[in-house]
Amino acid sequence: MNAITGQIQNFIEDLRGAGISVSPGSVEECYRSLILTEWSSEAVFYTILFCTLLKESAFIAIFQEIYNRHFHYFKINQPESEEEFRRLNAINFNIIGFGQANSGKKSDQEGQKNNNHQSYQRQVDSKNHYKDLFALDFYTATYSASVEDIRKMEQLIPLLGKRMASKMIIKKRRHQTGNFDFRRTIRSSMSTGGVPMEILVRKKVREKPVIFALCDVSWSCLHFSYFSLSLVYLLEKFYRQARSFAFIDETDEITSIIKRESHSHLRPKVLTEANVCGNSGYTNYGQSLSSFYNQYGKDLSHKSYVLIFGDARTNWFGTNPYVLKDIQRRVKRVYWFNPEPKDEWGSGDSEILIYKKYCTRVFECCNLGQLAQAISDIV
Amino acid sequence: MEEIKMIKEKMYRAGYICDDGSATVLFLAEQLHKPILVEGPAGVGKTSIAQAFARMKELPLIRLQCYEGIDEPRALYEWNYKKQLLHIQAVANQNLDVSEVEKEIFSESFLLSRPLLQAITSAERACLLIDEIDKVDFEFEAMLLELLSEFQVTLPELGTVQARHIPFVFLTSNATRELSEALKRRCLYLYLDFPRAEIEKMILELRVPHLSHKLSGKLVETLHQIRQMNLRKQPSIAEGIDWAFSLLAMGKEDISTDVIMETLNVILKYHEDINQVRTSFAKA
Repeated sequence: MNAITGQIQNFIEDLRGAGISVSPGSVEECYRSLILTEWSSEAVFYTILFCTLLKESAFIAIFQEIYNRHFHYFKINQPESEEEFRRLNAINFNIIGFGQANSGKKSDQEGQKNNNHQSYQRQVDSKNHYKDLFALDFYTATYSASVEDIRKMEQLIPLLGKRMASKMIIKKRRHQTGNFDFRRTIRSSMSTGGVPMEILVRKKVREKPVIFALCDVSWSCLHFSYFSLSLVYLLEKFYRQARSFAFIDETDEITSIIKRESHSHLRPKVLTEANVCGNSGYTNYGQSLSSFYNQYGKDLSHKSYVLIFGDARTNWFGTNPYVLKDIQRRVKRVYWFNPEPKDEWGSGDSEILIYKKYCTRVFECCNLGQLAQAISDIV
Repeated sequence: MEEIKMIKEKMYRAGYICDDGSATVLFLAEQLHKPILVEGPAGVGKTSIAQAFARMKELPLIRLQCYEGIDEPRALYEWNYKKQLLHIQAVANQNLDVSEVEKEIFSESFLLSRPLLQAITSAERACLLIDEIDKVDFEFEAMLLELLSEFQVTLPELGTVQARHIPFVFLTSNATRELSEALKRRCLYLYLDFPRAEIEKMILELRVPHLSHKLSGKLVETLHQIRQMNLRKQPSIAEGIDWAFSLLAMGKEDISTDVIMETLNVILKYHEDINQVRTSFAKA
């Protein structure tokens, strides 16, 4: 038993390293179960580890991967999807002209990111490649292009949606009771001879926000737009009135595409079907915002929430902050979700600090965990 | 392992086909006196595993269907308020001591036990199914902790009630919200997914008598094909069984593309899904 105990201990350490919380009680239970069953077949052994150590369906894929590394010496057949994934991305390469997009300072930025990326990679390697998917930043996720990781992260998105929905329900319920309704209470006390048996309260009228989501789908936001589009897809489901838009240097409505497609196919569809490229094909926030405001500004009202997903890297084009100011004046809230870490805000062609003045809040969303947190803050 | 094989066999006789994994979890739950938390997509048999287990053990199944806003009076116990009132009126002119009357009306005969209390106080061992636990509020979940770890509940007026027999507990969840760590720690985790083709074929044949091997094979193949597609809701095992019944009722022995097209609404519940499957089968 001793050799195997050590091996299981290592396995548990790796589970914890990947963000699965395994309590000492569970470990004890795992050993007790192993002693009880004299496991002889692998199915039984696997099930024991699974049912005692893992308690969350979102982590099943990670669990399996770690299990295979520790106890399985055969290579489990790899998903065939690597090719498919690259094919989907290739569409994006063609449209935006990959390689030409580095203008001026931008290349510095890329260099820096690559450094970050390498150091992260080292960190990851030293941890035997197991990652906490909620903490894995979008940049690394897409550029180190581990298809499996991305697939796993995609699996987490519906989960995020479910959590969002239940949070909204809880919030709705909590806020249902309003102030004491004096008139109705007194009126109803008539039937009990003037004794108020029941306290009546006013029902709160819940405001129903109209969501306008704008996603930067350009190359610099490739890593992020995957997830922001998926998120917009979720929003469409939860809010009856949600409209979504995509932009590079031209803004176009993508609500109908989102209604039609499943979230994993969104990005290529948006790039091929929506009119998001103007004259240059480089991200142009100023022009995109103006274009949004000119086309759809008339629909904005005091009930609207404007959500912008993008890194605010303007390629040194004009920023037109006054457009955002106009938007902010007409709507209830403007939220900006920025995939870059806070220290990089305002460096190079990042103009987020200018836009920040006209936003209700700007969220730092480098990874799925932060994105989930930001969303749950505003829901 | 002998015991696990036995469980599989007995469960089969109770009308449920277990793989090694779920049989192991059932075995462990029995040995360790632990509740089982069952998760998985809708319609893979989360509830039926509990029902079949109760049948296998020949125990009564006590079911608590959770919903938002379920509270202790609905799930645990409630005082029979009307009976208490009647009792007070009945003894009103007997000049009894007040504290005695009070003691009387808060005794067990005035207690209405709801599923959870029933499960731990019943004369024989019971099987308790707490369905859709993820729908309940946090407060309720916290209340469950005492029940699931100590198998006792504390009633303010009566004191602590210990379980006469430790019940077998199944909790099912659709993961619509994260359950608390504390609750998860107390349970064994069983994840049920859509079964492999040969197992699903066995399930169909077990649940639908008079189903020919040929038809069941074809059905399962089609179901698996449909599950590969990117649908809003995948057809469940339960819907597969309904499908088999409806095909039998229609007297179809072979499913051609036409028959599939006609009966898709049995297994798919969204208009978009039906259209998608139609077009893809029409192409093939």
